[in-house]
Amino acid sequence: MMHTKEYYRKSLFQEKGNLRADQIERIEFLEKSLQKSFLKIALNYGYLSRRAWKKALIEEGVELYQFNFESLEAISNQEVVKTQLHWFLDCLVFPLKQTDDYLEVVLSDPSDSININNVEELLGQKVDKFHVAEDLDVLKALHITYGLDYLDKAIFRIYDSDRESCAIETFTKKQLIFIGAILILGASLFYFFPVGVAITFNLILNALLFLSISFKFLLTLYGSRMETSRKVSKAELDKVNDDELPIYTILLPVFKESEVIHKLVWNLRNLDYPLEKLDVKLLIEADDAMTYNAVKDMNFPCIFEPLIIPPAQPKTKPKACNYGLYFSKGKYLTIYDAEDIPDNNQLKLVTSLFKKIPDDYVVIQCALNYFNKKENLLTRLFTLEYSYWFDYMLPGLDNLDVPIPLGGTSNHFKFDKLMELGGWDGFNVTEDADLGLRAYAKSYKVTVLDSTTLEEANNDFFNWIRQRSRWIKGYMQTYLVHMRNPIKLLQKVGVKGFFGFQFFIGGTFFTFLVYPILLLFLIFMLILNTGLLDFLFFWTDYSVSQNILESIQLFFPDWLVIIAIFNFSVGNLMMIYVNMMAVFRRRSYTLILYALINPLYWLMHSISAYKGLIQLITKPFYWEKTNHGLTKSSKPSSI
Amino acid sequence: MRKSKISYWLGWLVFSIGYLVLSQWLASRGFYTLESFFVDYRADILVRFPEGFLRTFYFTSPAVFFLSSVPFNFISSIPGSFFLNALLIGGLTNHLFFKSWKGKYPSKFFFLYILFSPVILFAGTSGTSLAVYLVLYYLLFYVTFKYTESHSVFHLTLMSLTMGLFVLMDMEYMKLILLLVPVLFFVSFFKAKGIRGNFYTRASVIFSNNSQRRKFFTGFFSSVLIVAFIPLMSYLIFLMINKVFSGSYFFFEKSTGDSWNSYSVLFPLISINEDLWPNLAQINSRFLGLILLLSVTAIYQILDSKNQAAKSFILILVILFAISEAADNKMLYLDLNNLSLITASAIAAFFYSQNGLKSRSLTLKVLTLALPVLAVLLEFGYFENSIVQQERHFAASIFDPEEDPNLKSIEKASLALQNQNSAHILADDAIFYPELSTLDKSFTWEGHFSPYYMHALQQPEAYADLILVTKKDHPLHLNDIVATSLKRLDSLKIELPKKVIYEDEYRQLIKIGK
Repeated sequence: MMHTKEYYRKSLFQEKGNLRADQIERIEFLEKSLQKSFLKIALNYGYLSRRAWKKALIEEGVELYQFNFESLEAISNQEVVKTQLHWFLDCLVFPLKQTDDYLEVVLSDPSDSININNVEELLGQKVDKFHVAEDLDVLKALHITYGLDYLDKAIFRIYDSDRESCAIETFTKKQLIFIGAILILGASLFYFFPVGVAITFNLILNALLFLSISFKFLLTLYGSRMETSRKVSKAELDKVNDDELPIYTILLPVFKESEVIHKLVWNLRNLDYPLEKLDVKLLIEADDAMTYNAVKDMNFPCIFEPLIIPPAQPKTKPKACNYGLYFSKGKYLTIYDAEDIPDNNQLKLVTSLFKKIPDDYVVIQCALNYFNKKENLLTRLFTLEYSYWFDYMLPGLDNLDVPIPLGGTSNHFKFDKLMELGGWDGFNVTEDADLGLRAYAKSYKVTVLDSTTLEEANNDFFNWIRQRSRWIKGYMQTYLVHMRNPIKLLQKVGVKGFFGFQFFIGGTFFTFLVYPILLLFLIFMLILNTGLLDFLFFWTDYSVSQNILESIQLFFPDWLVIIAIFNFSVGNLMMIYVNMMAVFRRRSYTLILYALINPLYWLMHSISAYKGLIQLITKPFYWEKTNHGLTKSSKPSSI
Repeated sequence: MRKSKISYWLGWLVFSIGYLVLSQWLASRGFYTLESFFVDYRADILVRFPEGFLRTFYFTSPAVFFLSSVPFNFISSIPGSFFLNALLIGGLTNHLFFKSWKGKYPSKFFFLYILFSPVILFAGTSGTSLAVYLVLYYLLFYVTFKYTESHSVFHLTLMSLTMGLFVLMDMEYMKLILLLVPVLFFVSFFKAKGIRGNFYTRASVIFSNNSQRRKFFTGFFSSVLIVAFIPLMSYLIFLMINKVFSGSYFFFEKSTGDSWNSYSVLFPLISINEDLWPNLAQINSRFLGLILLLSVTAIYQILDSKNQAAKSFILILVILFAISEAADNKMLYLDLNNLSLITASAIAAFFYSQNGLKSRSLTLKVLTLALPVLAVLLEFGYFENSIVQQERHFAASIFDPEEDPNLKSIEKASLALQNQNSAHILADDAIFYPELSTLDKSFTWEGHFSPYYMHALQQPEAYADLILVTKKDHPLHLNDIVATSLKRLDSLKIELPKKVIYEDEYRQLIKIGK
């Protein structure tokens, strides 16, 4: 419907939108300083809710335009829109149709005549007809129609610029030949020397498992050494001047997470950072109607700017984040999940730390922990794991100057350096870990900061398995990518970095894959040695156990069994202990005893590892979605 | 940085060489310890007899000392245990030297004590497990002192790891956890968040508030668990290995020949001086004198602890602990392996607190200068009066060396054995390890490690060419399983074709066959 009626800001925003005069004044001030439209500021900087805005429009008699997103086409003058896409996004104007003598647009704020004038100037003709639509619809239309160049870059930038670092190819030809050769050699040796090969194989598995776990234990110990030191003191934090703070981009990738959007708003509001210096992007997939509608329907003001990712495969978080990069304005950039609760001074701490440390540090990883740690057994175990991982292991790697695989969120980047690194690999399902290593390989450094972001621990078994299988698959992908040329990797990251990578990335999935094999072996030997099997064969006097033991003794001599038991026990106990240490540090004393069931938790890891391994071969880029918002807990438990 | 690292490593090397040379000088003056022979012997059979590998590897006690000595056994003329001792104590001395060097004048002067302390010299030169105990005690107490200040998990974990090593030295050392429990308890008061003030203020706030009280106790018990976990689990794993190896969880308690004095704790008391018996008597307190002789540095540290109440508290606990242990069983615990915890804790206390000390009175300055001399003299007093023969022998080797009949007998028996050409020997290796450790690869023997040992005892002629056996004057004659089995064969009137080819007051070497 063509609107001929005049619309006034006062009527729309003040009378119907219930904004106060001082708020309008403030928005107008920000409009000039941030170079964004009035409506954009009002909606994305916590002044006006989307539902209230829609209501105001309807009360004003506006009939909202409904897009048919399937049939949207770019206008003939599309190059102008593509090059000025940021401007159109900021002004919330979508050029719907343009011929030589006709221009029809959809906009969100009919009272903003400056916007209309600017569109006319940009597209070189007068607007003949305009429609009014909700801002989210306009954004979506702009992104899916004109954002495809950015989308292409978001997916293929790493592939185009540094093919060797891209996980698009899971196994290279050389790797397949190498694996095949090892298998053939192993099988041939086993044929000729079965006993020697079986014993050697068993010993190698045991030794690698032991080394890998010992490395983690030592790393934890090394990390704990630094626990009392603070990277940014309170005095340094107090000195931070708000006026000197840079613009900070926060990327919030979400997918089917309507449940947590409301929490997200409150968590962001708690951040101690000047609001006008926050550039918060909520990354919504175009086909995610659930989140899209939830944002549209929000009945309280929010402080993020929705960004709609045009549909394309692979549907991964890194792709969404890469897309978000092209619309980011901050000097620094971080990623949070929708349900995250960062320490309120985290952004200031990061800016202070970036100022203190040398320029080659390009990423700061903050600690992650959980707010629903006491919800059930799984969340307790998850908390134990995250506590030692982020509080001890990563600081341990940091202190050893070994590549740090970044965590999923709360990693803070220097924006220009992130762009230089090419962003995340859209084909890697643990893009964060991969990015940490790529940064290190390019002589940049990653460090950790003692500030915590509380997340929602996965409280559902199957959801956990899905999430974990993705993580482990991602570690396998990352390992394969960086081991395409081991000598090159060694040259890039040095001996320390190389072995750190082997034990930390390779060792992680290796231990989970080997763990159930060794466990089964030990249970089998236990059953035989204790005569439990004879008990099952009660009808015969013949000792079944003894007979089996004698026949396998050649392959599994006593000394090997004792070594395996020792190895397995010590390995498990070391992992139990590091779990205990970590929660003790966080004073979650009631969780300490749960560390004792860590071996069960490892079995769950093993299930995930095998699932990940199968997926690595069958569906390498498939993103196992983790459902968030399942927790009933809303407040952080004692931290 | 690089220069200081090089000088640190060089210092370690120099001190280690110093201890090694000193140990050889003492050996030339007739000083020996059976434990060093034992470790040398076990390292030998570890590689020589594959059938005994598992038992030797897992059950030789003290495990940490033995396993750490094995790599140093590459030089046959000096047992690996001497190398290990020299390296460990050399490392400790070097570490303390650098601490002293960087410290104020009292620490520089205190280093004289480190250099001349008979306890440290004994640890560095005797080839016994004392070196490991001393280093572990030092580590444990230094870390404990640090924990009282930092309350960090790092120090708590190091405490636990050190305790784990203690357990691998000797299961009984698990009791040291009891010593740490009060420390953890009092530290928990100072860990409470949001409460300020002195100890009494904190205690009253904590105990008057339910939530604080609950947090306090969960925190305290958790810290005990963190410290106790590694030693407890070391113990548990060891029991499991026992079970898998032998079918019994307590095989290590029943087995023979896995420690240097496995037959009798009386072994150190061979030819004991009767003057010592009053020290051991149940009803008197003369043993306190021996403890006092080693405690002067600790007592000084207790008194010299302005604003360092935790330090005094821990040192008092240490002395009380040592007294209570010794009072419980003087025969077992009145030796340096136990009492050196006083020495080590005092040294740890000194170096922990030296930076905290500021202005000192003239009396304190004089005392600081006199302390090292006094401590060294009193420690020599301990060595001269020790109930342990090898400790007394150490002091005697320095001031008044004399020939030891037991060592002479060992040397002669070893020579007699070496004069035989490649033979298979039957002996009780829990007694004759010093002699067996000197034999080259052409000799083999049956011992406790061997699966055929029992068969060999019943039919010696089928398994051995030579039998090495004790005579009745040997203090362990009644324990000698070979001597007993020979008597048994005699009583059954089974005659062996045998010929004595060497004998002295304590031992006999018999050739079997015509």
